[in-house]
Amino acid sequence: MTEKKAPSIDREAFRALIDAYGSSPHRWPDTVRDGAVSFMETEEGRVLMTDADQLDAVLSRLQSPSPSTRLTASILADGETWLARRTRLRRWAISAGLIGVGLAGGLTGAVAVVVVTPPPALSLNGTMTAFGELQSDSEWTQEAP
Amino acid sequence: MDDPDADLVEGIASGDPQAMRKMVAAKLPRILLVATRMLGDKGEAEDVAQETFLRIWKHAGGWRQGRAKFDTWAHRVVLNLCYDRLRRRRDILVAEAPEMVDHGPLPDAGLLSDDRDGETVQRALQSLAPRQREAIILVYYQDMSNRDAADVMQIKVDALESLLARGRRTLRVILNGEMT
Repeated sequence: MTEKKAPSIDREAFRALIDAYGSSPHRWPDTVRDGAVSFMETEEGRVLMTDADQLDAVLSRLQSPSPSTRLTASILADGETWLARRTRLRRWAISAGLIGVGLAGGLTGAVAVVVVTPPPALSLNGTMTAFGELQSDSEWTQEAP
Repeated sequence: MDDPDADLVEGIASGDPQAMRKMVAAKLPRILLVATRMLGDKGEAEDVAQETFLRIWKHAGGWRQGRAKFDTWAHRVVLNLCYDRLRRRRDILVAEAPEMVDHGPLPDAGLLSDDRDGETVQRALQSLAPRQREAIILVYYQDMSNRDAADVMQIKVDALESLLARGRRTLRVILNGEMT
């Protein structure tokens, strides 16, 4: 049975690949990885990898920040505050007759927010900030390929 | 769409404290990494991380499965908060302006001890145009696939690759002394 050959990649395509993604195959797109690995193992590929290797080695010196205990506790405390507020809203909504008791058990955070405040309209773009909706990234920062 | 965070989001929506703890454990390191790399300031990055989670707590109940991955949305939130901060600092470049950004090697390139190498790289990242920085953070430091990173940045993959290539070329110049 003939082994399936990885799609080939030429010198320029390989150079463009490592220019963008660096020298680690795990960052290369699935669609080209096998062919690129084959090219990487050639003499030409090894030469082209040198600069990418060096840059990647330098970039990797930057250590990942570890969340402090204080930050973690503060974020969880915010969550507890939000939960407590949502529970109070739920009770208020029931007592005010805005929702039935039967619905209270299934009341989600989103409904609780809708009852009391304008819906925050969960934005797929996640553009809500302290200053309201940000203009989309395409509106203020354009990077032409 | 198969969203690995779906169960956690549902747990948060139903008020499960355990789900909240798991979400923090899973996402806070990644969110903090993005904010730290984008802003170059630990204090501001922590503030952004906290604001991001405030939005997660508030909006988990309204999350609609299938439209996008929760992780994509969370990354978009933290990045927008970072851009908020960067604009406040008034150092955002709307368009690349080579005359405004010095892409030459850093004055101390090549002269730093191992302890300070991270600072050199962080300063080099700060020298990049924000969108190039964002692309490199998502692909290189967050290990996102090109498709996921492009989704976060709301651009096509080829545009992402262009940002990555340009960012890496600029970093190579800036860090030139570090790579010899």
